[in-house]
Amino acid sequence: MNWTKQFLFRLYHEPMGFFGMILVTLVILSALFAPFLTTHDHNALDIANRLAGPSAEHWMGTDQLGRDVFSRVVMGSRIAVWVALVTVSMSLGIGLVLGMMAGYGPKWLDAGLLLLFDTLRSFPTIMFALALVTVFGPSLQTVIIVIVATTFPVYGRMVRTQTQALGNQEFIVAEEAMGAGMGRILGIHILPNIIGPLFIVASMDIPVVVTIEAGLSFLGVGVRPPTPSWGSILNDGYAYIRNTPWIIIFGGLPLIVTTLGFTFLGESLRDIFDPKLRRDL
Amino acid sequence: MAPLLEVDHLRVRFKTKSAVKALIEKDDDPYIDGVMGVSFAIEPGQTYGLVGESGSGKTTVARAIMGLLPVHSGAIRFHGENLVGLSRDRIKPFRRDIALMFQDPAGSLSPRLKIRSILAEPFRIHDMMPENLSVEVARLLKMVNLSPSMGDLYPHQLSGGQARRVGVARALALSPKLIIADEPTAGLDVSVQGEILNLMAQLQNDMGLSFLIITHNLAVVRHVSDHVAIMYLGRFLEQGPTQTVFHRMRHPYTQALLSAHASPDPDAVHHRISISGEIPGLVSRPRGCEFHTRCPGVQEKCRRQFPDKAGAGKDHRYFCHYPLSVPEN
Amino acid sequence: MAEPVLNIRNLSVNYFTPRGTVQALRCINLQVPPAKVVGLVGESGCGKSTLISAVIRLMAENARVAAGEIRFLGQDMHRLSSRDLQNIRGKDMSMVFQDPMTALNPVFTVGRQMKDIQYRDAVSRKEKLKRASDMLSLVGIPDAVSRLDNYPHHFSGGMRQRITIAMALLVQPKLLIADEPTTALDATLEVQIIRLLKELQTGFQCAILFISHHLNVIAELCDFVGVMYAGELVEKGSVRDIFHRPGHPYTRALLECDPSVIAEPTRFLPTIPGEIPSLIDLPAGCIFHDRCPRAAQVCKNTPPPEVSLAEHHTAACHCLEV
Ligand SMILES: Nc1ncnc2c1ncn2[C@@H]1O[C@H](COP(=O)(O)OP(=O)(O)OP(=O)(O)O)[C@@H](O)[C@H]1O
Ligand SMILES: Nc1ncnc2c1ncn2[C@@H]1O[C@H](COP(=O)(O)OP(=O)(O)O)[C@@H](O)[C@H]1O
Ligand code: SF4
Ligand code: SF4
Ligand SMILES: [Mg+2]
Ligand SMILES: [Mg+2]
Repeated sequence: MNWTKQFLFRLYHEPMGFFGMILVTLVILSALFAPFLTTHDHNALDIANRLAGPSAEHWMGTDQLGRDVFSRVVMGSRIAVWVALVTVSMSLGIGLVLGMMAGYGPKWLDAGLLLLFDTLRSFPTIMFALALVTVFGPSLQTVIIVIVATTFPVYGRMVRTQTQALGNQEFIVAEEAMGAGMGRILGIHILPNIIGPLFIVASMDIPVVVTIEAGLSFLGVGVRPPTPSWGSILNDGYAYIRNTPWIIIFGGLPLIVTTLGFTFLGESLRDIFDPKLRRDL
Repeated sequence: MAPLLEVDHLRVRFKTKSAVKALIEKDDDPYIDGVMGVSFAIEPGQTYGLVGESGSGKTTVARAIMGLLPVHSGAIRFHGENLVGLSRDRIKPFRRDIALMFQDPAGSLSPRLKIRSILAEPFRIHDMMPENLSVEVARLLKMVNLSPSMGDLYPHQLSGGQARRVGVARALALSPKLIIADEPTAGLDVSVQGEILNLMAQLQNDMGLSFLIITHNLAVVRHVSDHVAIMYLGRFLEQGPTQTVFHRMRHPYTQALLSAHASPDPDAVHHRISISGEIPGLVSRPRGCEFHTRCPGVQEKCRRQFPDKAGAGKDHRYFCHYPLSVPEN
Repeated sequence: MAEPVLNIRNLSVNYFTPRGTVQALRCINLQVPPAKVVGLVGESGCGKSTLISAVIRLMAENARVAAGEIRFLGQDMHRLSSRDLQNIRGKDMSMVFQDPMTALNPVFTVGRQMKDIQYRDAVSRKEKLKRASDMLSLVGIPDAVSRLDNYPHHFSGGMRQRITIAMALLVQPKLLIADEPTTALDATLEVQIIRLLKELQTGFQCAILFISHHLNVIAELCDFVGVMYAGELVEKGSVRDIFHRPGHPYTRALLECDPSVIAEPTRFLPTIPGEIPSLIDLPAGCIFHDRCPRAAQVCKNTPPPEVSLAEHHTAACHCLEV
């Protein structure tokens, strides 16, 4: 398609974005093909070989139970990417629907939804997580609920502002003048115009979500052992940081790669789609 | 002949502050009048011109007729039926008969849709899909002298003149009886402007359309409209047949407006009636005759009392205490 | 002519797009003499705004100057360091754009903005505000002193445009560049702005480069006029030469299209049939040949030479009666 070609043309001229894209592709490939990339069973214990340093056998060494760190890191990318994609797309979906309703619907609906957004946004993520954990116990679902509940209001507010701005533009008024209904206006005319920038924000949110998930797992309120989340790998390594720092190093590395990758990509996407430059796309 | 559209004492008000704020500031009238009681009628197959400075309320009149704004009082009759107060469902059939062309040509086309889909919108909205949509789209494009291959472009790939044509094509899709054109030539250079106006005249000849043309370009109005109204602060200060208003105007504002218009000749001698000062804001609408703050012939009475409507022959109406005298001929 | 304030020589500007190279300006030669008003007219998309963006060196990022130079007060604009450039913009050269609202910052008072643009001058705050209010009165804004505390949205469209002009003149530029400053205004306000520009131009002795679609405004305000078509300056000359003795077929066609010159009301207005050619695949020969009523065989193959018709009056066409 023509559009894709122009997009790649642009990206090619953004070295950081190109680099980001390579990192992101690596992480996603590793998540997709994790079972084929691992060298060992990520949960297999080998007490005799516990806390071994990097070697030809264990590229990233082993942890306190003798599990292969490389295999755990690779499998961890599955959790990270899965949680990130699920939560970000759920937040995006909820934020889109509610935000468009707030931005285009009647005033009272707008006021109500704004109150909801602002209330949810004012909860600190960690406190909210701890509260939920005390009620439901630690689990992957808890992590997802916490992240979705605290991020969708951000999208909701963004969508609302953009919808309001678009709602006053002449092409929307033109649709109203022809007699188009609300569903048609939101779905066909507003959605395609706000979705692009949202995807960019979402791609910049993915590393944040990955870090939150790792953070919650690190604190023990997220993914439960023995599931290999990057956060729990860090947590495991933390206890042995003095003598065997490689667990922390190799556990932290993918976090850094993911964060940098998505951030670079997101930022150059933003630059590419900046309205000022859009003219010739 | 019965008029196609009849607007009767139309008044549109805008709220200036929220109810709470008005209560706190003890403002018992937190409204401004965007349109203050205008009346006019458009006959089938005729063109009515609406002239006025920016902010005088021209677009507001257009949007009120389209039912896009709540009407405070007055009536808008189309084929004798009052459109004011109709529900969204009841007004929908009328939206087929009245089409609106927007001030900003590219801005009124949905930016992510191809021209083809934009032209299909009216059919989709009214559930009137023609049997062969692409033939229909090609027909519409041909009607406005665009090649059918334009259907594959996006609005931002069109020039100003082309975008205008697409606007005309979309307005024509459901064979309306009346087209309201808001500033159809703003921002266009004279050659493209002529093309658009000729296209509109052609369609009027062929299909018997009526037009309401909104503009501040007097040179254009003079050529294209049968009747004209001069608008100022939400009122029609003078209205009547174009020739009469241009050559036998009675209102000082009309005279000033017409004299401001120069001909493109570096050696022209300008006999301008100087009007100074700013257009007053709607919030601080002057008492009495609204034009008195800028009128060269203002007298004491003008500051106190709004003039009654006066007539001079068929269809010619104006509001002024001390109207200009008419040259005898 | 005295040494021009602005001297554009053989300027060509290209836009690089994925569709190909848009040759938006080709070999433009234009001079703006001191204290004169030069007008630019031409069909939409013919490159007027591109020319201005090149002059002030604020071009789109995919734009390149392919050839030629722009000398402002003798300095080559495209060789200046960005510091020197900043010193020129907003001091010796200032600009007024079409939409007055975008040129003013909505969150600061007009007084603050007018004070801030004088940051280079080492005078007191009070003095700067005084200059600002004097300039506002000069452009015809009543109660100037008290209105300094108002925000832009407190003013009407016409007033805002006058404020932007006041700001542009506050720095006492040698050259004022105005891109369609009156398009958003109606006839009476347009007249006020034109008068104002004219008075100020004589008062401050500043040169003006002026773009407008309104031929009557050009006729009234300008001393010299340049006519552009599809990226080329096809004719230039004094305002009388252009309006009374137009040479180039495009100029003639353009002037005939103006509805205000047609005395008898008519439903069908004259137009220039055809379309502006693609600036990516330029036609051979004269750029106007497929729309020109006088096109001859030679026009299809050979680009026309620039012919001098009178002093300062030139046109690029094969078929001129000299
Ligand atoms: N950033 C850009 N990339 C590609 N092409 C461009 C860009 N900016 C302008 N152009 C093209 O360059 C040509 C000249 O454009 P310009 O904006 O200078 O026209 P103009 O004479 O100011 O028109 P108008 O009277 O409508 O303002 C047009 O064909 C336009 O499509
Ligand atoms: N939705 C609105 N709320 C408040 N004021 C409005 C609104 N729409 C228009 N106005 C005001 O009504 C007046 C007339 O506007 P408009 O009809 O757009 O003028 P025109 O088309 O003649 O330029 C202006 O002063 C404008 O600011
Ligand atoms: S009523 Fe008075 S102020 Fe109003 S237009 Fe007539 S003369 Fe002028
Ligand atoms: S050179 Fe030929 S085609 Fe070009 S303007 Fe002159 S007569 Fe017309
Ligand atoms: Mg308007
Ligand atoms: Mg321009």
